[in-house]
Amino acid sequence: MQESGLRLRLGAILLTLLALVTYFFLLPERMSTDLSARSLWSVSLMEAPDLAEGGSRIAFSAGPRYGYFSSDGQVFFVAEHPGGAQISDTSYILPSSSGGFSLFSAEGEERAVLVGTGPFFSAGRAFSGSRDGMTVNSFDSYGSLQWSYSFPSQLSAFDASSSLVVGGTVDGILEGVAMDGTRAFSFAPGGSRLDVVLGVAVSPSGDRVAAMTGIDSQRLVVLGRGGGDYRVISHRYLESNYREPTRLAFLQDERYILYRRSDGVGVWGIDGNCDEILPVAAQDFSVAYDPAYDVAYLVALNGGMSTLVAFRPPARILGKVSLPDATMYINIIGSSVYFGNATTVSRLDFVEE
Amino acid sequence: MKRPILLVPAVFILVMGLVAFEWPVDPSSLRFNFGFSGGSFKRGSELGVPDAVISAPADGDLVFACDAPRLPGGYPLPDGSLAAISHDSGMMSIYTGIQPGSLSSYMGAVRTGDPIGVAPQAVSGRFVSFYVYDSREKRFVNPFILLPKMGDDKPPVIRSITFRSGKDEIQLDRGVSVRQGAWLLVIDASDMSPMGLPSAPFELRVVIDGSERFHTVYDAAWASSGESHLFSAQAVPEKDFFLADGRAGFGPVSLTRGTMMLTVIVTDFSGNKREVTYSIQVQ
Repeated sequence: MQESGLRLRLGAILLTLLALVTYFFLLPERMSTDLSARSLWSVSLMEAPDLAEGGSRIAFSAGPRYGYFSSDGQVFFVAEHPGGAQISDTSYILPSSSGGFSLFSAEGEERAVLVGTGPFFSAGRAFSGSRDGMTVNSFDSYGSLQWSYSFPSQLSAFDASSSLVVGGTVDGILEGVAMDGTRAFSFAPGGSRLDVVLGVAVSPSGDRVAAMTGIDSQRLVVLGRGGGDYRVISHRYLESNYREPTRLAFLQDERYILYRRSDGVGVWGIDGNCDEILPVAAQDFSVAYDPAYDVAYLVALNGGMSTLVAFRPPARILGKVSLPDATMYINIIGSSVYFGNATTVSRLDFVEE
Repeated sequence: MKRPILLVPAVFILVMGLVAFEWPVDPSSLRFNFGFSGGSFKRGSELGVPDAVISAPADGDLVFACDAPRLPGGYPLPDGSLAAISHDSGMMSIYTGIQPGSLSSYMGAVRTGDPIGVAPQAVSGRFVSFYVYDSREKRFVNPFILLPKMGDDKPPVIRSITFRSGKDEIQLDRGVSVRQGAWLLVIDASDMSPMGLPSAPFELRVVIDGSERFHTVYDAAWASSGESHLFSAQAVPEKDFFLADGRAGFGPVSLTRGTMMLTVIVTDFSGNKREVTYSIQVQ
């Protein structure tokens, strides 16, 4: 019985690998006249070592499985936990035996028990929430509590950079928290019949903050750091009337905002000189930019399907690739796309020809 | 001097009382209301009604509904879901812990009694929490102030009253004597919820030698510059009022040599009162 189970699992892995090889090696997709997608490797996560020494690590988390691999396809560490793990390239978080959560180094050393609920990583920093959904706890890389900050009401939007945390609340308040846990700004965008913050994005430098706010009418508001405060540097009304969390993301030197809309992903230049659409259905999305090629990569998630869209900012589409149905995680570094599921990880590179 | 301060909660409660809310569930299922619970001050009510429909307490607009485990930025939703209704009165009702998949996220306008979602199953060990938020004053309001009164004839319970100084703690009893100096007065009091669980009282008064020294009304809680504050009249930082174990701390109280009469009065929202008086020898 055990042998036949093992055979079945091996068969499933081989089939997955075969499908990926066929998909990307035999059917390479032409992206544009000068950009094409090439598959570099696919490796199984089933036979990975418990803990191997190695250099630069790329984190993955897919369902219950999590671990690290390298850019050349060496798997460092794979483990399993029923609820999965929160993971960054330097550490990961698992439920602890005491009922809370513990922070581990990427090498598997337990560093600290974290206070609060549902700890997670954002911009490489570890945070946790509170039972009432109003407080953010921030931890250093060793898991020591740096600060706790209570927002005026429950958080409906959250984002962080290496220097700034921004929360948006159900009553329409935006508050920024500096590295030392003090308030960086507090702002009520208003301008709509009903106040609420539905999405927020912090630029990598922390100098700009974008938010989707309000209902009747919905607004996109961008704040910029000026002196010691944050002020509105641009805004626009939207046709949408979402009442659920929406994704926002900064792109390319903080010049563009990507935002969810009914007919695709909107691209808006914060200086007002660009208002375009990437026509790809996306309930949620993530975006990465490769300055070497001046190409951005959008991963559009819609109804369980993932589509990878390469485009030249602001919105010239170079090509699209539909990722396999079973894709559970995607990580884009430069023009390399790492993706996979609980059993396989693959690398796909976009190259200029 | 104290009268204008004491008027603050009275006016606050009177104004809030003009806003009429209906119970979102049968009030007999109330587990806990507006007080210290599980390591922090809970700014709403916890409802123990497995599988029951949670309904809108007043007309309004659903402004936010999400039953994903986390927000896009990773922040965890409390007990797996969050919904908020903006009411015409400027109040918001906020719900956490509604069963994922049952949230009426399609709704825009909401009428009193409309279903918002379903409470978690008993096996989950989770409960729905219900908050009332005054969006004009940017503060949470004790839901009891806006909801129809429950029949309740049981007075609150005073579990202990102690004087604390550093690591020294002296529990008050008949004929107790305390050395002179500055002490923190620590009160452990509760009011039983309809489900028979210890909940928070509504008012705490401390009278020393016939003069009211402390008066706390559990009416409002809010955050300002990242810090949590409690009670409209005092605006006391949460970390300064509650000890880690949830008991309330008043003081410091300066005790001078002689006999002191200390009265503690605890009242629930229905007006039921528990009062104890101690004669204390200060040495």
